[in-house]
Amino acid sequence: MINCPHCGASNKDGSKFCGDCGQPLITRNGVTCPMCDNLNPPGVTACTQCGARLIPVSVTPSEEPLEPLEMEEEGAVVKGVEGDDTVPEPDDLGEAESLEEFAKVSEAEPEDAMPPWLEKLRELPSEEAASEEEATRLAPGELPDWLEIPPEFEEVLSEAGRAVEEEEVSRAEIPSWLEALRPAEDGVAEPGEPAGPPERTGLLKGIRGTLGIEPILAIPPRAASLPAFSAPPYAYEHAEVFDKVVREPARPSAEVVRPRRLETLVASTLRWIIYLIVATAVVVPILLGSNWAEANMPVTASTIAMYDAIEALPADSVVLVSHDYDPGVAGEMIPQAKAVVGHLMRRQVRLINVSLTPEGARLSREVLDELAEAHGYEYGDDYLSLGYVVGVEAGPRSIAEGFGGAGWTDFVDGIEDVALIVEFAGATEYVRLWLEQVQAPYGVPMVAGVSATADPFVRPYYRNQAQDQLLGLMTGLVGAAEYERRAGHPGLALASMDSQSVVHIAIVLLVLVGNLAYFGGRLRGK
Amino acid sequence: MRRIVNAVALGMKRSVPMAIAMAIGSLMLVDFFFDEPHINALGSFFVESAVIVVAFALLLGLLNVLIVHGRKIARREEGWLYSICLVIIALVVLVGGIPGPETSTVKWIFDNVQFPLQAATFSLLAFYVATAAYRGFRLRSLESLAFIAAVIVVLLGQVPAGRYLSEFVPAAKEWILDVPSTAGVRGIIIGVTLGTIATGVRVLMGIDRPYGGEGGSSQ
Repeated sequence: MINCPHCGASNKDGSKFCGDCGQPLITRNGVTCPMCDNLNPPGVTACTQCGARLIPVSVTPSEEPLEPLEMEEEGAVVKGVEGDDTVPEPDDLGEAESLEEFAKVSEAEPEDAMPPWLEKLRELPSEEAASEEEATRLAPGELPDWLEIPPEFEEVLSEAGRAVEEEEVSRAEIPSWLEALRPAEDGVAEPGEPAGPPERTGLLKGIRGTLGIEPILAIPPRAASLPAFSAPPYAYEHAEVFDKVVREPARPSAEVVRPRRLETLVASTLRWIIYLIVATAVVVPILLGSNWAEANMPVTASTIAMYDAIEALPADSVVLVSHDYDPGVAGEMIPQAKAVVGHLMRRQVRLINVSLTPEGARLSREVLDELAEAHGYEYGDDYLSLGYVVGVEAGPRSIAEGFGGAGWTDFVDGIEDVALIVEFAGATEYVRLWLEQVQAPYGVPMVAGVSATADPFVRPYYRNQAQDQLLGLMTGLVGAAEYERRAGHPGLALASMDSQSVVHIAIVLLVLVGNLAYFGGRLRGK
Repeated sequence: MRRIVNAVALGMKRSVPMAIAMAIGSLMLVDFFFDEPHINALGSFFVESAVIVVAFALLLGLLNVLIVHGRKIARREEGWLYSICLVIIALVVLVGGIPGPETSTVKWIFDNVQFPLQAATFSLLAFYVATAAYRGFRLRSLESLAFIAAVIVVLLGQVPAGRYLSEFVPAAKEWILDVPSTAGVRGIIIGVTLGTIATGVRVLMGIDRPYGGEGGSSQ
């Protein structure tokens, strides 16, 4: 690999130009860095990659003789090491309690105690050695061989010298704003520099004329002499009373802050009036036996679509009905179930009833028994109730795959024989379970009756008719009433519509009255 | 040696459930998308197994409720009298329902206790909604104006009275439910769907482990 001397990018061996910046790569006349093997262009003094120096430093030995190192006799340990050349072995320290004691002992020992190997070393500075040392001693100003500049570097060095000179020349071209940032010598202000002492710390170190922040923040306020003050005697008495009151421990107040009685009374009364209005709106039409809605009930398109899907079923076809609700929404779901299941029985279709909730199984059983008796349906021959199916997501799937497999019904041989799924859902997730686990994978047509709260989250599946997810949809007690009117069999739902109409109108009026009261209060400035 | 055994046991504890989840999850995915008899049969087997497991989970749930409230009663914690009621009623329903869900005891409890209580509780919503409508629907801004207008149109358009007032009211109600409401809900459903897909992929890849008792998420 060749590293580009200009941008540092790695290039393949043999490349002539850098693949990154396009500059020529030096392959022959360059200088190889001894530290990182990077090939540098001629003339550079430091490696472009690692910054290591590429040319040897020219050393000029000092003319003055070096001062001998003066060792201070600070401790006997140093003395022992320097004077005797006897390196104490760790084992020799055995009897001596400390290094100091050992040093004293070694000082006292005669030279005979020196080991033979050390004796040999002592003989080394002989005459031969002295002559060798003299031969290698250099004259002042002379460089040793290993520091001599090779001839091939002479040219490089001269170019590097020129580059340094150019750098020095170009220093004068530094712009004034950059020059102003150059750290100044302490206490010496150059001509033209802003006045004031230079910053000594931080990022602005060396720069003069900065806005000082310390004087503003750190200088303590000077104590100003107060004017002469003389208080009257009663002021001291008041101050004493105040001090006594402040120092007393807090006591619970005897007076409890109570909400204003009138406001509480009005709010409570108003609440009860609203409850009374709602109750009256529900009860009075029922007591009067009003049936105004029977003739004026509009039927929405989604309910008509559901009715049509059931009306199109051939006789003896099999319909899977799932009752997934609980007593909380039974007020709107049971009228739905009665209206639709009644229609199914009039169409003479066979019904398989299941439930994904335990309460739904119980509630549907009563509906089925009542309607079966009215339409002459026989349990086992014309309809089945499989009860509560556990398993959440796996529940509907197990029902679909259980047909014909376990032999618990001879109505159908498989889910493909089911003509329609009718789902009664008190909550959105039950519709979703049937859609995801049965309708979509097996392509069984499906309609749904849902509670009013579930409607917004189910409606997208009905409106997605391109996918045939829900062929029809009816919502809440109103949906049941619409279905009854469409089927021409008025029942509980249609009978309840007058009450519901009055309650809806009452709530709309309450909204309007509430806003009138709100604006009235604002006009009064409350 | 014990360290090695513990490390292997810990690794098995993590990797074995993950491997099972990944294998069965992938198989169910293939079962959903492809019509291959052997894989479909395996998928059906696992679906049936899931139903049985969930049924046992219900039993475990009941057992857990009894243990928690039994401990509460033994320690005389706050509300322990309610816990006594809960345990007694749970045992009565359990014993009464052992012969089957259609026994007279269970039917009586459902018809005379559960049904009236749940229906009455839900019915109270009508009163709360009425007071909330009076106190909450204030015309404070343009957004609240749109909100109140939608409320009035849907409330009136839902019942025959709205049609009596004007043919426009039921049509406007249908438009509100079919267009703005459905558009918003569809956006939510798409978001939930994408999140479900992402979660499924994470579980299949072993990034999320909602099993194994290690606090759900891995890493």
